[in-house]
Amino acid sequence: MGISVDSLGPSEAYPWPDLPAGEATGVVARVTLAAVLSGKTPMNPATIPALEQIGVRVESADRAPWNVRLSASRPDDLLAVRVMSSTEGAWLAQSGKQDHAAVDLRKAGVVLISASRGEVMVAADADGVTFWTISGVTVEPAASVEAPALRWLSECGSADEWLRSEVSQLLQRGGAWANFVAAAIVARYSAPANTEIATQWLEATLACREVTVLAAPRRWARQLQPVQVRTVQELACAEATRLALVLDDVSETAVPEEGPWQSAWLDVCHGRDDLEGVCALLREASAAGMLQKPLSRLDTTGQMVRRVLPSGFVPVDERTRRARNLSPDSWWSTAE
Amino acid sequence: MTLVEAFQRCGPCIGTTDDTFRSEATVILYEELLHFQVTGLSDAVRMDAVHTVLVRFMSTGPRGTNEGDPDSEERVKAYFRIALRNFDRDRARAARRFTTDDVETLARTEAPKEPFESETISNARLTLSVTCIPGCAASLRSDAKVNFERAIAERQEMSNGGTTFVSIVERHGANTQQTRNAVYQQHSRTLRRLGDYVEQYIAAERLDLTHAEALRIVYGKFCEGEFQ
Repeated sequence: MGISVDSLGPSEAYPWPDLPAGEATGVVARVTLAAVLSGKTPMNPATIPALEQIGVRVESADRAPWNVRLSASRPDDLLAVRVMSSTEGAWLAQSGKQDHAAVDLRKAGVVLISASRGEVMVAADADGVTFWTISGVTVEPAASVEAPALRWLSECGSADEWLRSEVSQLLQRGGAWANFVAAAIVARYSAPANTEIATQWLEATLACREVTVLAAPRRWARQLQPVQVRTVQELACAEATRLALVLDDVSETAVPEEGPWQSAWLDVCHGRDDLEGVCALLREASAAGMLQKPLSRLDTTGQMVRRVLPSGFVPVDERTRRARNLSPDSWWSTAE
Repeated sequence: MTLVEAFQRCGPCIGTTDDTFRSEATVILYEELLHFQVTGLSDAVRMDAVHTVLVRFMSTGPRGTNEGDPDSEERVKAYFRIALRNFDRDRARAARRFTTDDVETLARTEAPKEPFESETISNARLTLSVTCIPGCAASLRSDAKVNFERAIAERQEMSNGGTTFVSIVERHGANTQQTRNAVYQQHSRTLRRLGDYVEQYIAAERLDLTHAEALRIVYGKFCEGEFQ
């Protein structure tokens, strides 16, 4: 099966019931897998912690986990059942429906059950059935992240149309990453409308008082659940990897004339600037540490590519111009 | 709290126990900026510049400790000098819409000062030319090595003021966009290779932050060139 013994976690074993006596007392049901799968046969919820942990619900026709119906705990979650034996009738899944399967665990022998939060190996022998959690690479489902970013802007009476438009576009795109970036952009780009307000903001900070629009996204970041923070960390690392790949493309295709490389460059600059805001919020949640290395590598490459871009053709837009005000030492910001 | 620590901790107050540090860090930076001398920055705009720059910095913080961030008082000061100069340049650019001020002249009044001793920079130049360039060439296959060495020689000619990019293009063929692009890409690949080698050298030799940054600056200068 290609699974190292070292990667097997703790096991849970369930003995088979005594067959003739079991049938007589109703402990063992005489059912077909088709009936199990259809849901028309009365089933009992079965508690198998190893499967619950990875997001799989189990119902059993028998008192022992024998003829079972497996389903994903949540409607859109993943469930894959791989049965190693070629015994006919060992398992059944409904065509086109991937979140349900019926398995005769005794016939199946060895089964690998993959779900959104991990994998479990099941092995049956003459005495019973054993479930092992497989440690190693498991993919945690992405948590949802909702950021009231537009509300923060409204509450502070922001008249910055550019910022509002950027935030609206991100929220419209939706998803954990875009929503978190929207919050990060509010935190990063909320600026005083004039020098008088700048003075007020500064005086407030010098006197240890809050500036609402700067405090709100940071407080929001601090109250995120650990699973939400992990989701953002993973997505941020993935974004850093994507940007490094785009940088390579820019480096290969940039020439001293206008072309698609310019929009790719702006994409990298915006993406890196997003990450700067994301890091600021993750720092509030004491969770930015894991981004240091990926960002350091990205910045080394970014600085190098920036140096060899043809001067006079490096594109500038509102975002890169504003980024220069906030991060004057950054490679992804540009002067007009 | 030192100036470097203040640089790392300055940030907006959010109603937690961290606020004391953030506020104290902002006070330290503010007092430092009030005594800053930036050539070309008039007294009339000085306070606005200090307030705006510090609010911008504070509102994106706290920065924490990041690789490459200023690690000395001098480098913190250099960071804020650039920020203040940017503010002044933007203000002048905005004013140009109504006047005939030559903003670019104003922007050039103070060239960015490298925060390193000239000896450190000289040594870095030597490392680049005597160690990194030959080392990088030696690491390449023979055909790639020939292209690398030719491109480096052309860059050196350009940076010495001995020739222009167009003259180099003409050595490779007619001065068309296609030839210019081809030569540019040869040069940029060469410089990327050299840049990768420089980074490997910094890591392998475990250069301290000052010497690593000096080598990067020298490499950056070597990359500068006009491609028109």
